[in-house]
Amino acid sequence: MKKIEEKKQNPEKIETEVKQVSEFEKKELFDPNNIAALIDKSKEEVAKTIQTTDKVTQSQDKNVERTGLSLSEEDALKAQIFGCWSIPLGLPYKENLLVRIKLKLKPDGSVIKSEILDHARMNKPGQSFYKVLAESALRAIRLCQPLRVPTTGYERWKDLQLNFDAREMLEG
Amino acid sequence: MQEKCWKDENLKFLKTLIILLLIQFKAYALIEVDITRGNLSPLPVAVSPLASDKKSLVEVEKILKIKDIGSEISLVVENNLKQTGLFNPLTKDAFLQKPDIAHFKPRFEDWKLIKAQALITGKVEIINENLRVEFRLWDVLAAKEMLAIAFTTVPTNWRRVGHIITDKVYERLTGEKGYFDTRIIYVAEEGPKTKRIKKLAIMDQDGFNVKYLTLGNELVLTPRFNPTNQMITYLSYFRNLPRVYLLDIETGIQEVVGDFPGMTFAPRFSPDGKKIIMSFASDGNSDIYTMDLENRIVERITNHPSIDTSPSYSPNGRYICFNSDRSGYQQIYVMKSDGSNVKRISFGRGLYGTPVWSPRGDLIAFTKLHKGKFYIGVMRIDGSGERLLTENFYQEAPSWSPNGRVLVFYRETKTDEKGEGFSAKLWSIDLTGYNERQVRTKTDASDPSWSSLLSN
Repeated sequence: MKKIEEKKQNPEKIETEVKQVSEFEKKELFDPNNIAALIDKSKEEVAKTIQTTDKVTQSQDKNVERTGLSLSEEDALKAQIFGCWSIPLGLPYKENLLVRIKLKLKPDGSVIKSEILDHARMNKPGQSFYKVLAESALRAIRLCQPLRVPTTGYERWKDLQLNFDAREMLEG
Repeated sequence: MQEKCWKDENLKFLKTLIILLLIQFKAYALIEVDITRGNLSPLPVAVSPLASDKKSLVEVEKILKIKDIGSEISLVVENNLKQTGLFNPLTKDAFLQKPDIAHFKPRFEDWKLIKAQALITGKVEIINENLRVEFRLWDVLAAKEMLAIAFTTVPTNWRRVGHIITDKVYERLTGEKGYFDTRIIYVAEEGPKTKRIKKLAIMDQDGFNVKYLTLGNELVLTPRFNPTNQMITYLSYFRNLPRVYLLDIETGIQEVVGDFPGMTFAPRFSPDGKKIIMSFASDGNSDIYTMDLENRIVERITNHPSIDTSPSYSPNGRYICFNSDRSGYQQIYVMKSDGSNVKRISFGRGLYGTPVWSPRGDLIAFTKLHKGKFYIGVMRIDGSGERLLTENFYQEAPSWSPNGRVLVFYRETKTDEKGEGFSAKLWSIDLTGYNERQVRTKTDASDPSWSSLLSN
């Protein structure tokens, strides 16, 4: 039924394989010891905050009640972070890729602590895209700091949550 | 009385606690800011030359005639990263730290100064006549190591090591597999347009290490890689009839596929590499057939009095896309792999051909001819979301990189009035449509096909 014709042409053999011999001294980007240190630090911060809130005066209380940033304050912060965030262009636009990072800030806008709220997703199998996006968001924060925060009302914005969502850009 | 007093105390304490909590709640109302835009410029990355000791340098020079193997490997990595359009390798002149010290302990402040966000360092040694290459990827802003891997191989494999390093770095920074340790098979063309010599050729994806697989005695067309091994299928001529052939790249043995009474063409492997799907034409009709490579059983998939051709399997092997003129014009169709449930998916203006299913499964790439211009585009598997990535005088035959992010295709230039000026070259474009590049080949080239990752 079948007819086979054989011809010697130019054989092309792949050289001996490349062997991966080790992943030496592999450390995760997120050092658990470091996170523990940061958590301890945040406790200190909370304690200090409680002390100061004990002394809240009437005039300061008015500031506390004003929640959120004004539009121009928010725009200034966004514009700064937009410039620092290199979106990993290889990410699929269809996946749920929202990275929420909670920041504790100093009055000058530098970051005391950054915490990924869905940290458990970072090392889950099949969540490599999330990890890549989270790392890019953290890089953006580090690159941008001190953040462009308002000059007044520290109590209002000392805790800040940034929600990084690349879908709009990736769908482009 | 005492009990009442205790109750009052408790109540007072509770009230104070609630007030304190309320005050604290007000003070800590969390401000949320949505960051939905960013910077689309490529990530600045520093690829430090790989360090090497003197003894290894001398030995490598003796074997490979290369003076500084560390710099050469880092150059392979750098070029690969640049080609992606996702990374911006920084100029080495700006590096402040020596390669060996940077590999041991980078001074992150120095790398931040030149705006690097990622850093690649490494070391090359010769151990027992083998090349040992280790590399580290660093997050400069976090001042942390992200990846550290070592490889050993024969010294002549040094370019492959560069490609594998790029694959690892790319995957760690983008979250998707790379496509650098791969090869492209294509038709190398030489001579005037009317008298072309066409040979099958294979090269690394970056255009290096070109080898010719056939001698150029017969015309060859449409070579396609087996996704699972080093076999290829292509079209050549047997007794003046175009026929589908199989070629084992490693042994050089080739054979005709099946015993069809007419011409067979447009071959492609199934995703498991066990079948060939192709067109068989007879009496002006062309239908799609498969042949099982183990038992050689031939199966007819379409049966329609129109031209059905260019079949391509979905990555799970359950569906096939192909083109057909059954509607009166050449359009793209999708059917189940047994030939049932045929659905037309392209409805745009113009003619659609050479559909190829993405290895990721989500898109189908195609060539489109509309108003005398050729386009390479992609659409979703239901035909929605058509995007034309590139337009030219003549271009066709897209083939996917194994990660489904880049397409390689060929483009021909117009001949002038004297019949000169014709050329055919390979080009690549990524899914953004912005990163279009020519793939370097020594000769003219057409019909490219991208292999799977070799180091999988």
